[in-house]
Amino acid sequence: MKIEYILKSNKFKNRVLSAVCVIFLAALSFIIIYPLISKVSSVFMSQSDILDPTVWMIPKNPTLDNIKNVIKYGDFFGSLLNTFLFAFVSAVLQTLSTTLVAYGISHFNFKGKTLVTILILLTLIVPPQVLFGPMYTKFRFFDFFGIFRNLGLPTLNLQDTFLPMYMLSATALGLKCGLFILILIQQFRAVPKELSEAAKVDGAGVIRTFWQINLPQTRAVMVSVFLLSFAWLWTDTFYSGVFLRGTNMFMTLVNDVSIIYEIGAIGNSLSGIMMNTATVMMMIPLIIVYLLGQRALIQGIQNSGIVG
Amino acid sequence: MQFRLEIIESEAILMKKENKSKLKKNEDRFAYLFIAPFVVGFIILYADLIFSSISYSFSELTFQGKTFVSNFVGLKNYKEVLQVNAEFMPALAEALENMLTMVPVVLIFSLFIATLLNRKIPGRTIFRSIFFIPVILMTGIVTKTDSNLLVQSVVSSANELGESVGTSSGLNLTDISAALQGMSIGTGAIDFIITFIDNIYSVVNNSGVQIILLLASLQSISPSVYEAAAIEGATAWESFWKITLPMVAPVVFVCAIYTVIDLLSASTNNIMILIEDTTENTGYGVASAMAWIFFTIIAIILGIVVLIGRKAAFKQ
Repeated sequence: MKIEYILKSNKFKNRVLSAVCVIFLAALSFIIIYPLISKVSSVFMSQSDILDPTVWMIPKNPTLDNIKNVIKYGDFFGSLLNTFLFAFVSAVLQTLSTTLVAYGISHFNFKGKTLVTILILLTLIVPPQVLFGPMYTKFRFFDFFGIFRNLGLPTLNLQDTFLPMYMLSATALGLKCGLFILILIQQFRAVPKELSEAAKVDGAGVIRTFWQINLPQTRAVMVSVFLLSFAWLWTDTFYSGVFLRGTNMFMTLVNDVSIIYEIGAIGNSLSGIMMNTATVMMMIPLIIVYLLGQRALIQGIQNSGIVG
Repeated sequence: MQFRLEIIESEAILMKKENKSKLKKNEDRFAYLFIAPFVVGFIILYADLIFSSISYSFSELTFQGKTFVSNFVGLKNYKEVLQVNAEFMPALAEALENMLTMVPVVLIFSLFIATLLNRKIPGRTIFRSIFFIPVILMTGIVTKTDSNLLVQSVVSSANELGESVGTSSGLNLTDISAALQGMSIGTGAIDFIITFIDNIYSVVNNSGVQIILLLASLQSISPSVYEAAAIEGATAWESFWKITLPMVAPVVFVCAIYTVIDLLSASTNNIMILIEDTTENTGYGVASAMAWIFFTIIAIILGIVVLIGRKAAFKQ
């Protein structure tokens, strides 16, 4: 009787609390979405709409001129392709390499495990800006331990190729790889050990235990890691600033478009509108990938039970 | 008879153990196969980068023809940064002050949001996908060409045209602070609330990964624990402090570390902007010295966070 009463009153309380939560979350969601919507809506605004204080969100004279101008004055499709090659391949490599490293650390005991863990933390802590100059020179005059130089061969110029980023990604040294390794380690630890042991009894080798038992349990988190890497590489300014100064990328497109406007080639000064338009246009693939992958992102979190 | 059987059994167990440990050792060799990408990359690519960055900070670099020429100058760059440079210390102080206020705000906010998103409320999936938008979409260059840039360009061009456009950026903070002063709370609290409201967008943007991590750990707490507590008569408030917080404390600790790193190495950070400017203007040697001084400070702060946080997080 008493227990029933308590549960009943809790139920009522819960309802009220839920209502308050929903209202609060809705308000915060508005704060989050508002800039995105205003970004998208101002793509279709003509100059008069932007300057008109009575126009809010819905343009009075909707126009596609901004989009046309970006395509006309910037290399939109080239930037799109380059950014895709840069972000997609690197994200795939990062996901694979961080998964391997995380499995190695979480499932085995080996000499130097602590050292490797500390080194991974080091790569997370050292801000990449610290390595700006050395990174540039390293890949401008690329050389394996001075082998080329000693043989009298010229060093390789890897500037404006995607190879430096691919190499860093394949070796789990890319963008925020340390964080991904930590997340994946927690995930592998959450997979019940009994599964691996049962597989072992049944005669599965190390590789097979990894491939058929542990990897399927981690798939959702791997998708999340891929999504985060892809998104962060897509909008990245640092690595493309070091390696791809002469290649048309997301950042180059935005800069180009704004510079053309500042020079006044088109006869007005609203460079912000063009930068915004270019940004929104470049974000379209990202939005598509997010819509496709967000279910996995949420599911991955639900299944993972990452416990520190 | 029984005695002999026991011996045989124990021998069998021993053999099995030996076998197992041998097997385990054999297996552990495979670990090197898995960590090989990182180790090879670290040796070939990364270690070299760190060493040359450190050596740059002790030398003067000049760009002659095609290559860098570096002269060892000892501690000169460090002395210049710490004693001569007028911008470094203020930028450092501001970055640290910003970090000190933001870390608690971000942690409390993301724990709060994660708790809300963990409740069984209508539209939970939609809210979750909205709260992950900043992590995916509002990063890097997108934040650099943010809507305020649009507003700025509009305002400047409006000034050029001789028109006046009111600042259209949302909340009027003087009104809010006046209202709060009317409520007679301490000025410290008012300042805190005002900074929070003023920075709400950056707080939301900086909390994405933390919300994901905390939500995951909240979901790993079995609901039966809460049911038991509720039957014992614990209120939601009590069960938050007695159950939720101790259970997620390790993850809060991880989040604290991540937040410190994230805030201090963000490219919008004063220090990072200063380092980039110095690279372009004064030279790479001085910029490297700045970067490594800053790195040492980050490492010390993280050390303190780890020392304090470990005790608090793993108390029970």
